[in-house]
Amino acid sequence: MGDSIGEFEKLLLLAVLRLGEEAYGAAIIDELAERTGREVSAGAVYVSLRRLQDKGMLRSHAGEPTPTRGGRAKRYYEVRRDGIVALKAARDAWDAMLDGLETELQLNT
Amino acid sequence: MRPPKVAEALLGRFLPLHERDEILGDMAERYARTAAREGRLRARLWYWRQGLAIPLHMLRRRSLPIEFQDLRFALRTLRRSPGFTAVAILTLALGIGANTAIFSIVNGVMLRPLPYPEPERLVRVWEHNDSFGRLQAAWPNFVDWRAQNESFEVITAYSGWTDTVLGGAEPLRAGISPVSAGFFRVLRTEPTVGRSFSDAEHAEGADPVVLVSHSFWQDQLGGTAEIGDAELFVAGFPVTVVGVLPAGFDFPAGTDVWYPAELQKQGDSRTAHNWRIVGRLAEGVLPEQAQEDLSLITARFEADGEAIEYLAQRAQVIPLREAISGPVQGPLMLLLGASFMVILVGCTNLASTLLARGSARSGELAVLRALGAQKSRIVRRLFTESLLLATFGATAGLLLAAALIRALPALLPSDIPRMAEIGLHAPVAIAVVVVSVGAALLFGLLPAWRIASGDLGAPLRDGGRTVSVVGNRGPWRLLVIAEVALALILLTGAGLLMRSLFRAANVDPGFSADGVVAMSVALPAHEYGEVHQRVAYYDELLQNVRRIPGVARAGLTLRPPLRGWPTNGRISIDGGPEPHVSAAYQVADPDYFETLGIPLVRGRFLDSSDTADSAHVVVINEALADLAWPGEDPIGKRLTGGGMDSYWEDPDAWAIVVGVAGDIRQRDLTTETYPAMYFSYRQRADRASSAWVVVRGERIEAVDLIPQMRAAIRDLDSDVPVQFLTMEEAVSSSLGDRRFLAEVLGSFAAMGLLLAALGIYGVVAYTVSLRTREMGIRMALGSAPAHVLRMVLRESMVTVVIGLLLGLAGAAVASRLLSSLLYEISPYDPVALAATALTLLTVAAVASFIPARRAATIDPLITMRAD
Repeated sequence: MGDSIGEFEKLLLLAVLRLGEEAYGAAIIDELAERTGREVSAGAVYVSLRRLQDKGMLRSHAGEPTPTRGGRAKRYYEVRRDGIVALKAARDAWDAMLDGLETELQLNT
Repeated sequence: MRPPKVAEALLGRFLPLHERDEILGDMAERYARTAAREGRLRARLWYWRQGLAIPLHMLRRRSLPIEFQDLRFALRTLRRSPGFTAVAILTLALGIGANTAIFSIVNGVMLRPLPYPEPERLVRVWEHNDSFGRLQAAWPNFVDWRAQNESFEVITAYSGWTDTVLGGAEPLRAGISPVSAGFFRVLRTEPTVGRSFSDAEHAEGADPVVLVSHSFWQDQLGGTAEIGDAELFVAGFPVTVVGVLPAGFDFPAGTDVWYPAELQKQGDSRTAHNWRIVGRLAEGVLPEQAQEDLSLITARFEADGEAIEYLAQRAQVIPLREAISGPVQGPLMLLLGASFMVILVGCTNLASTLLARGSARSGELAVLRALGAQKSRIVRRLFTESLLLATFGATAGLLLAAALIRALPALLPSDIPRMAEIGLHAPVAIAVVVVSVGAALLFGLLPAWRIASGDLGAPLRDGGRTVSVVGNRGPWRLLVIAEVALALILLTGAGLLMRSLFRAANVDPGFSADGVVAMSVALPAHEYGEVHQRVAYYDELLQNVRRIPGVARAGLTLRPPLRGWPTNGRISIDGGPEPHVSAAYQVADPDYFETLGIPLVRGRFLDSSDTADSAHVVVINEALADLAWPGEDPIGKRLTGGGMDSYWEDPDAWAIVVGVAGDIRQRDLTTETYPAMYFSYRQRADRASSAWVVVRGERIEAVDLIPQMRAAIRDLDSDVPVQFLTMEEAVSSSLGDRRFLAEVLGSFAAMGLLLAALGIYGVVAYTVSLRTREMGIRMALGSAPAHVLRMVLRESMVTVVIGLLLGLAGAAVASRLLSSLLYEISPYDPVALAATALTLLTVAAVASFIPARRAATIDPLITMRAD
C-alpha cells in the first residue's frame, strides 16, 4: 500500500511543484504562507520536508552558498514520482468523497 | 543585515549537522526580508520566536522522553499549584544564581589561566629567611639570580607606586612601575602603538622613555597614534612616551606608566628589599626546580657589615597565578563553601517538596494507572514536570547570576585581583546548572518511580487521602534535619562575621574621624626638589586653607591614619641599649594632632618654635615610649632613625623627644598600634614630596569646603595634583573586606534560613494533611484542639532540635576555618551560637505552627463525613 500523506504534506508537495527550480526552504515557506493566507511554522515545514524525503516523495540537493544568506547554501527540493502518485491518490480520494455533495457544500462545479 | 548572533548560535547548536546550513541560511534570508519590511526589532523578535520553535519541532519528531502533550500537561499542573511552583523555581534560582556568581569569581580570580601566552611558565620569586619569611628582593641579589640561574628564559625585577604625572590632559596621580630589561618578554606583551624599550634604554643615563597603559593613552594623551611628541613629567622627570600597551594589560595591577628601572642607579645593599621579581621559566622547568636553583645561588650571598638577619637564606618560587590570587584565596573558598551549602539546602528543600507532592498525588497517579496508563508513561509525565521546573529555575538562576556578576565591580572590595577577568563563563554556568538540574530531576524522578511501581490499588481503596507511598515519616524527618543543620552552620558563620565586623567597627581608633576631610597634595619634583621650596609651599598652603571661612583647623601629615602601613624602620636611642624597635616615620605640623583629636599624653606637641634652625624635636606615641623607655619619662631623651631620612646620614643627629601623643590605629582599624614618631615638616621635609592636609570644619561640614580647598591648591600652583578623602570614608573602607564577607555570608545565611523555613513548613503541612483523618478521629474522641496543636508542634520541633544539635557540631568544625577572619571573637562565641540557634528555633516554630494550627482547627465531622 502506498504511503498516505497528511494535509500539510500535500500542501508542501504542491508548493514544491509550483516553485519548480526555485523550491528551497525559505521560498517554500513564503509560498505556503502567501497561498494559504496563514502563518506557517518553519519548524513544521522542515520536519515535513524531511519526512517526505524519508517516504521517497521528495529529493533534494545542496546549492551554492550565497552571501545574502550569510554564506550558507540553499537546499533545493524536487518532487519524485511517488510524490506525484500520492498527490493524485489524495485528489482521487477527495473527489470520490465529494461526489454528490456539490449542492450540499454549495460548490459551483 | 545579520540575524541576532545569540539566537543564531543557539539555533545552530540545536540543529542536526546535515540540516544546519540549509535552515540557518533560510532563516537569515527571511530575517533580512522581515527586517526590511517590518523593522529590525520585530525581525529580531520574529527570529527568536521562530528560531526556538524549530528545534522544538525537531524534538517532537525524535522520540525524546518528552512529548508535547506531557509538556502541556506539566505546564497546566504547575500553574495549578502556583505556590509550590514559585517556591521550587525560586529555590533553584537562588541556589544556581548565588553559586554561579561566586564560582565565577573563584574562576576568574583563581582558576583561569593568566591572560599571557604560556602562562603556566610565569612565576613570582621572593627572598626567604627564617626570621621574616617571604621578602621582596634586593637589587644585587636579583642581579646575581639573573646572571647565574639555569632555570629561566627571562627573569626581571619590577616595582610600583603612585606618583605625580604631568603633561597629560590634567595633572594626576598615576600608577608608576619601573621594570628591568626583559619585563615585557616575560609577559610576552608588545605595545600596540609605538615600540617597546630598547636594550640601550635599560641603562643608567639613557634618555628617559616610558610606555603607557591603553586607558592612560586614551584619557590623557587623546588616543592619537602620534605619540612620538608626547612629553610627560613623571615624578618630576621629563620623559618621552614611546609606546602604548594593549588594552586590558594590567601588570603590576593599577600601573599606567612603565619605565626602565636601570635609568636610576640601584643601591648595592643586599638587604634593601625593594624589588618584586617575575620570571618566565625555561621550557620544561618546574617552579620547584627553579626554586632549588635560585636557592643555591642565594646561599652564596654575603652581606658586608649589614644586618645579617635581613639577608635572604633561600629563594621562593611560586606560580604567578597563585601569587596573585593568594591573598584572597581564603575568603573566596569560604564564600564558595557557603554558597555550596545554600545550594545543598536548596536541593534538600526541593527534594522534600517534590517527594511530598509525589506522595500527595499518589491517588491521581493510581487512577491513571488503573485506567491503563503505562508505568513508563507516568514516569515520563512526572519527569517532564521536573524538567520543566528545572529549566525555569535554571533560566531564572542564570539571569540572576548574570545580574549579580554585572553588579560585582560595585559589590566587591576594590583590591580583588583580576577583577576584569570575572565573567559568566560557559563552563562555570554549565557545571552549576548540570548539578542543580540533575538534583531536581533525580528528586523529581525518585518519587515518580516509586509511585509508578507501587501498589496501585492501595491509594484507591483508602480514598486517596491517608496514604503515603513513602509510608513512614523517616525520610521527611531526615530532610528537615539536614536542612536545619546546614542552615545553622551558615547562620553561625554569618553571625560570627557580623559580630566581628561590629567589634571592628567599634574599635576606638584613637582619633576622631567625624567631619574631617583629608586632601593629598603631590609636589612635582622639578619645581620642589629643594626642601625649603616644599616647606614654603606647605606654609603657604596651610595658611590659605586656614583662611577659608568655615575651616576650624587644618594640619599636615605624610599620610593620614588607616591608609596602610606607614614608612618605618629601625631606630636607635641615645645611651642604649639597642631597643630593637622599629617605628613608623611621620612628618606633621603643630595642628595635625588637634585636627584629628589625637590626645597629648605628656610634654608638648610640635609647635611654631620648632624651625629649621632650632634643635630637631620629635613627638612619639605611647607605644614607642613604652618600648624604648619602659617605666621612664621619655621627655628629653634622644633617638635617631638610621637611614629613614637624609638628616640621619650623620649618626649623631639626635632628635629630642618633646612630647608623647596618644596611640592611634594607623594601618587599619584592626591592626594594633605601631610605635610611631612625628617630626615637624619645618625641620624634616626631606620625605615630604607629597603630603596630606587634614581639615576640620566649624559649623559646616568640611566636605562642603572641598571646592574652596581645591581652589586654594589651584591658586597656589595649578601643577599640583590633588585628591580628597573624608576620614569617615577611610574608616569605612578600612572595614571593606570584613563588611563584604559579612554581607555576602549574611545574605547566604538568610537564604538558607528562608529555604529551611519553607522546607519545614512544607513537610509539616504535608504530614498534617496526610493525618487529617487521624486528627479528626482524635478530636471526635475528645482531644482538645490545643492538644492536637501541641502534638504536631512537638513532633516537628523534636526533629528541628535534632537538626540544631547536628548543626551546632558542624558549626563548631566550620567556624574554626573562619578563625583567621575573625576579630576579637572566638569561633565558639557563645553569643553568636546562642543567637543563631534561637533564631532558627523561632523560625522553625513559626513554620510548624501555621500548619499545626490548621490541624487543630479540623472539623471532625467533615473529615469523618468524607468516608
